[in-house]
Amino acid sequence: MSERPFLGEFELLIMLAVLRLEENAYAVTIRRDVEARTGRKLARGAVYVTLDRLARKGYLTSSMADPTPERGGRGKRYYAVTAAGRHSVRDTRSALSQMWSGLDAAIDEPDN
Amino acid sequence: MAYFVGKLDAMSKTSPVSPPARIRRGLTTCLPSGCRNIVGDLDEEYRDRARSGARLLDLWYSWHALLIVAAYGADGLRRLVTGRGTTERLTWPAQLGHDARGAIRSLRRGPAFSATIIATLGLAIGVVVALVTVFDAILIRPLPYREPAQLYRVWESNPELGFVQDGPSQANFLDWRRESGVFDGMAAWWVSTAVYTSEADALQATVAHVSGDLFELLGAQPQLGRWLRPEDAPGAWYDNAGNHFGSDRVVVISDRFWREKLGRDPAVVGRRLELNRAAWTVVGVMPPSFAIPRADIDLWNPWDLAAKPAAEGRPVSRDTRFLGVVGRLAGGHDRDSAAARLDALAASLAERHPATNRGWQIRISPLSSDVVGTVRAPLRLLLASVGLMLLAACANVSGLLLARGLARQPEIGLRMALGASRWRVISQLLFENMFLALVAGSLGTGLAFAIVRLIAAAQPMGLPRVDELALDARVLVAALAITTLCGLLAGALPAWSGARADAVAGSRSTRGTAGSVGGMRLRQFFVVTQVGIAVVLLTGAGVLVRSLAGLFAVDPGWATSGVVVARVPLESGIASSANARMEFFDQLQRRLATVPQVDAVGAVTALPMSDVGADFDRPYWRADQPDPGAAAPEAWLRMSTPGYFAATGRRLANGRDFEATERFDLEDPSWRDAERVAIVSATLARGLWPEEDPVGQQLSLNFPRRVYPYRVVGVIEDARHHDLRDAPQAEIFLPYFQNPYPALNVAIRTTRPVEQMRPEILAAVREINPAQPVHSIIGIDELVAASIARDRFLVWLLAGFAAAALGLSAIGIYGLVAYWVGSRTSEIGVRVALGASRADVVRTVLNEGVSLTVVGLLAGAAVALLAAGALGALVYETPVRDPLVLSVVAAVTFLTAVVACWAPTWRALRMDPTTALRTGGGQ
Repeated sequence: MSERPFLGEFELLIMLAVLRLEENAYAVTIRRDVEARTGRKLARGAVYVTLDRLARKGYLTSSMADPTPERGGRGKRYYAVTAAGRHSVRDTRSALSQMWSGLDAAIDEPDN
Repeated sequence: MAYFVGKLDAMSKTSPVSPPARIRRGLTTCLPSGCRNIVGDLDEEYRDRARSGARLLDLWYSWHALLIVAAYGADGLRRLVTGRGTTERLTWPAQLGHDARGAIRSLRRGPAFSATIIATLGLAIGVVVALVTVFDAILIRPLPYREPAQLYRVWESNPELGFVQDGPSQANFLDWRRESGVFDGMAAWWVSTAVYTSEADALQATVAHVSGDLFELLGAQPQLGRWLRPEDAPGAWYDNAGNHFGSDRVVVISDRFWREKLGRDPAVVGRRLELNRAAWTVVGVMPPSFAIPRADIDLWNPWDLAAKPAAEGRPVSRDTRFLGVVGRLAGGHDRDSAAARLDALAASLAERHPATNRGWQIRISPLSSDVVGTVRAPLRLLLASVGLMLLAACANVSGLLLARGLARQPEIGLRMALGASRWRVISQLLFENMFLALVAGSLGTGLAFAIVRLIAAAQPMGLPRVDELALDARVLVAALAITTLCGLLAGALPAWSGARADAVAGSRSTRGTAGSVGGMRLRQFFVVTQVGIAVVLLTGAGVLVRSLAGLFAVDPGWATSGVVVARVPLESGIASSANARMEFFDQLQRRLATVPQVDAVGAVTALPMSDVGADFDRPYWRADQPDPGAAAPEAWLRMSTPGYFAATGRRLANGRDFEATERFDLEDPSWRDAERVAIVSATLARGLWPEEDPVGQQLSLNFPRRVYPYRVVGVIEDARHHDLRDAPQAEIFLPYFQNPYPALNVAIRTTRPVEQMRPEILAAVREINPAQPVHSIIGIDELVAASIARDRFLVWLLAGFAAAALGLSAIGIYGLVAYWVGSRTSEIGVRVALGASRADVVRTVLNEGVSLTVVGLLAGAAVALLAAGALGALVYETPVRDPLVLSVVAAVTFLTAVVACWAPTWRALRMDPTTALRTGGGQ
């Protein structure tokens, strides 16, 4: 087991969305993807801060695209998952599945 | 397809939908430079939403921009707290969060220090915000009427006769309304009193009789019911006893009357009120802010100017000038063009009616200045004074912060040594200081709220518009601005000085080395500032005190104590008959004379220093000369009973008082030809008969409706009637029993206090007529006090501000000298060891504090002399640049400085040279 900490829940959601969106992963689409799949509203600020953090940790890289008039002359920052990021997602998934194993019955049982 | 795409592209380029530019710029500034893509993201979403037809786009944009900045700020703060990522450059929201934490931490380290600063600034800000609120409500806000800037009071003036603003006569007013062409509408009124009878009591109410279009002209909405309409007025008139004739009896009531007399009855519209023994129907209630013609009006009822003359079969009067008039300037006219037209109209009226109108001009003045009256100058003075006091408080706090900065040098030096930039340290120190100011500002605003409520309740100086006083958004913005300014004024220099490189170098050495010279200079500058401000305020207060003392010393010509007065407006049952009026006051005077310890009793139509009662002036001339017409001088005409002069301490220069036999029987027509008598004031007598003995001479008066001759039976010494400041004016007294007015003010000379006399007076009046109201039972000393209440209030406030500034400068001097002594411990020790005498030590220490005081004193005196003109309108016969006041101020300031230096000097004297040398030099 590596010393690398596991991803937080929100970080994991963002990482998965970036993986899924492939070439089209920038903040707007990432947020929409998570919102569409989870049915939860995300705060824009939280998305940006988390993207920054993941980039600082070395899990994401980013590149600026050319500016467009539609965006008031500002380019998009596209994100891609790095090798370390893939490792981290994998680690987190395996840790979570280990924790989940055998618990399906316990949480599906109706409360009474 | 290509065409279509091109068009779409063009559309998006020229799209009018774009995010609010300022917010967008703000977002760009707040974000770190690597994060500009976020602005683009938000733009994109903004346009997406615009295309999908979403509403409130700008609000949406601003809100999300704010959220994003907040998220970055919170993230930065979190990283700081957890210690992760501190090597990165911080975005400014994150830095703000960091500074806030630092500020709170450092404030909690020195709670007493922080509390001192917060209390000093908080008090000063509180007083300033309260005065700004008052200033704003009274002088800056428009009046609560429709297009108030177009509303003007209209006057007649006759500079030759000394009348600056006189109310016009009815006939002139009607001509103006018809012919002026510069007003969209003109309304008139006159104010009198009526007896309001309820089940509980009979009271006097102040009534404005108004032409039917007054309310429509002003455009102020009633809070209940309706206002008076033009159709309420036709035919309405009032006789001298206040009885009403000729129209429906409808009345609009004031908010105060509604609250105090009718218990805020929500069903008051339609309710019947008994006024002067007639039933009137309430049709509306005006809001508290409605104060036309005056703030003390209880009731408004309709009046038709032409109805009474028509009923009495005589022309409308052109020479009795008593109306209040307001007009709404028509569009296209400004004050100057209107004045030109009105000059032409006045000239034309003077040509048509030379006997009454020659020399009379028409003048207009903004209604707002009429409402604000004479409080403008004192309010400005107070605002300037509190501004100075605030400046002194800022200088004081600056001094404290500087001292603290010196104490924190090791800490700051360490931080800079570890790589914190100078700007970073300055911004953190400034933030701490701003934080203190903000806390002080919030407390101060709370204090201001309390002060404003106090002012609204106490109504000092007879302030107008206090019903409109409120701490609202405008004032809160002002409070925030004042607080920010204070924070910058008090905090900027200390922050800058605290982060100086040489200050930091000083952190490695002991106190009192070259490292703190800059800080010392600044502190000296702040002390000089405080002393200077204290001197300016003390000088202002001193001049006002002298002026007030001068007013106290004025001999008004009547007794200012030992007299109890009461207002007795006859109720209409008695008032309707002239003989019954005389009989009532005859009985009352005799009955009051039997009350124990009463030395004299009399009554008069108008008391000095009192605005209750009928007071008017009429032209007069020598009976052996022809009527000079409009050129005749005028004298105040007052009706008095025998005994009035004795009761109020008026001194007869010559002749005698009226006698009981000088009395008409008004039911016997022969009274018209009977002889009339008068008593005149010394000024008037000198003017008419410079050579002869005035007693026994005849003078002519046009009173009441035709010219009668009056034989002078006495000359009374001059007196100041309306204002202690005004020179005595010509007066003529006529015997009440020849001119029985329906209301008199009774004056009783007695050694007993008002509280004891009140039940005696009420009992005497009710014994004669139980339905008769009496009010305003007060001592004559209260009338005098009320007449100088404004001067007294100003003196107290200004003296308070001056004392506060002086106290602050004493603290400043003390702090600086104490620090100086502390930092010179070794030097003083060496001197004493080398044989310096105690006197030398005292001289050295005092020199430090006193030299600064002298500089402040000179600077303050110079400013005080330059600004003295501001006091000109507020003082009574006192030079505004008074050497005596300046000398006293200098002495007081000097003494204060010496006292402030005392404790540090004492400490220096008690210093043991060996200890001093060890502590001072051993580190």
